[in-house]
Amino acid sequence: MKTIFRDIGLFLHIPAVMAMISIPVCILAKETYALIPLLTCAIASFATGQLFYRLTKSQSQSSSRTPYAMVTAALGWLLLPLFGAIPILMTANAADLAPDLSTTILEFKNPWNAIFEAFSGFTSTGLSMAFNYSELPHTLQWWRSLMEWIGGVGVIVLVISLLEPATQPNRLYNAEGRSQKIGLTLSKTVKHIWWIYLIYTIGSIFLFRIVGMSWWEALNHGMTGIATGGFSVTDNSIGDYGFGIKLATIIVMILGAISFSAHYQFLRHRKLSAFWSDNQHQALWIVLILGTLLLWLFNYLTVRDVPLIDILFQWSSAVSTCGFGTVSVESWDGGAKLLMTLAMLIGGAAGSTAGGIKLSRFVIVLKAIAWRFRRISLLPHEMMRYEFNGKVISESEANRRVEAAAVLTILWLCVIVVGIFILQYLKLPNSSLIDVIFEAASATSGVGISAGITHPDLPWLGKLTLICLMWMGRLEIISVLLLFSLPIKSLIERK
Amino acid sequence: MYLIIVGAGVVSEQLISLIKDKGYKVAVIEKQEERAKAIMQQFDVRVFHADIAQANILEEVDIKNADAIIATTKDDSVNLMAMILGKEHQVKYLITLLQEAKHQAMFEKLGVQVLSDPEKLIAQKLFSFID
Repeated sequence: MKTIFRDIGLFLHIPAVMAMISIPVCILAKETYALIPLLTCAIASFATGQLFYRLTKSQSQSSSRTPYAMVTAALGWLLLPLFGAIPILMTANAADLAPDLSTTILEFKNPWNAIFEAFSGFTSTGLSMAFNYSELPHTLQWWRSLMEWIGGVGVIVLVISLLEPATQPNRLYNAEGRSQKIGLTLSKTVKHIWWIYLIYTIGSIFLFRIVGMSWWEALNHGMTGIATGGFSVTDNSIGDYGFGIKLATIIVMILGAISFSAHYQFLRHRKLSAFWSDNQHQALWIVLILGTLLLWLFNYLTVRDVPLIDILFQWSSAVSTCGFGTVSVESWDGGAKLLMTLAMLIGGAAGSTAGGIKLSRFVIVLKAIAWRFRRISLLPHEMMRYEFNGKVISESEANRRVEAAAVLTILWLCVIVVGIFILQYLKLPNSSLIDVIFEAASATSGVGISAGITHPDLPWLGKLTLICLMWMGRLEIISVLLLFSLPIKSLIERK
Repeated sequence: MYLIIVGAGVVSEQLISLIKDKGYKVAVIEKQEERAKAIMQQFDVRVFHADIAQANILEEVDIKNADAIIATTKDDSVNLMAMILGKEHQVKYLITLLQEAKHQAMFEKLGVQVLSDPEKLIAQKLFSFID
């Protein structure tokens, strides 16, 4: 128990560092009203972090048990956005706010909106309570992008790279939804992840600059693009840009949806084939191509004239769970929205910054179906061959994987259904059931494309629901359920 | 061509390699589960976990369409059973390994092509390098 608070104490240093890094941005943009909010955030999270850490440090046994690591991750990911909301909330309420700023920032005077934005940031979702992104203070634009950039790669990854080797990082790493190892030890894996992340971020920024964005736009979009977050600094997201930028963005989004280990193979060993050599990346390309064609067909059948590049863009944005948009999907018909929902549910590759159920699980579930049918047609003495990623695995291994994938898929869908029930109960005026389904899936999978429900006028219960969906989705549900089960368990044990 | 191999030992592995290279179809019948699994890990072939003496196992393996049945087990009685059943189903090529060379004549009367006493053959070959 104490170790949980100790580790959370460590996590809470992150917003402090982030805030300190953001101070130069604030000063350069001459937005002095944002200085106090940033400092408050820094001091508050640093102080709380130190408090937790110092109080529990003396009892430091390492958190060697998986449930504790999961609870740590769940709690950490709950607290971090709360501290991350401080700069947003305080800037909006600042007494000396620039009078010529548009009203979009004022929405953040409401704590719900600030907290929502922070959760959307750290979970690299990208749903926003702001209307005109370009009219937000630069500090806040930067803060949103920074939250997504940090959240995309993972808080725990960040902490592990800074922790002393004494702490048991393995379970924490797994608890954040990561299971791939690159390199022999965990700390090596984390170092590689960081290098790859940095290289691709810088590459994306330069790519965007080359195809025509301004430096500020390229910086922010590069960060949120590779983090598959989707916060934008231009109104209409990527909609106002030309073909070249749209294409570049599609490339960045897809790169974000590819696993870090595949990137590692490519960068380190120059193996381009790493991008299609395992089942889940093969599935990625198939889903991208087939889905785009299907989506184009759906729109064609409903006589909606959407250019192919925008279809490809929206689909890539959904599959990679990024959330950039070139056209609004609010007016699309139910069938198209449902198709997009499926893409969002499936998500990107496991081991990438993308969300969703992840392609690896999707592939396993599909294989399980194929295996089921194969087993039916098997002869009495014939033995069943289970093949995955080009290798043969034993029956028990196959069953284990199928069970894990299926259980998580069911949990995922249950969580979304609960969210849908709550949102439906709110009887939102302009939203049909498919919009509710769409938004719930978008939040849980950390996508960020909105069907119109995310709005400052959404009742607080709706905002809370979406926040919970984003939180649970980022942690792949199980960690959060464990956290919730703790008080119940201790109550039962008291008896 | 469709070949049935009885027994999944070291010799079978080499055989399967050759057969797959040629592009023929192959099915393997093996009594021990671990060996059956091991073959399955290595090759993309249909493996049947069964004793050759079991009723109807050969029907399951679709022996009617088999061009050859090759027995590679260490037990000559099993090999014999495989050959007799193969002959009964009119398989064209009947081939077997034989541990005990003395039985060779009996097999050949059936019309089986026999490779007997493999270790002796290997020893002879090794020895022949000297001349």
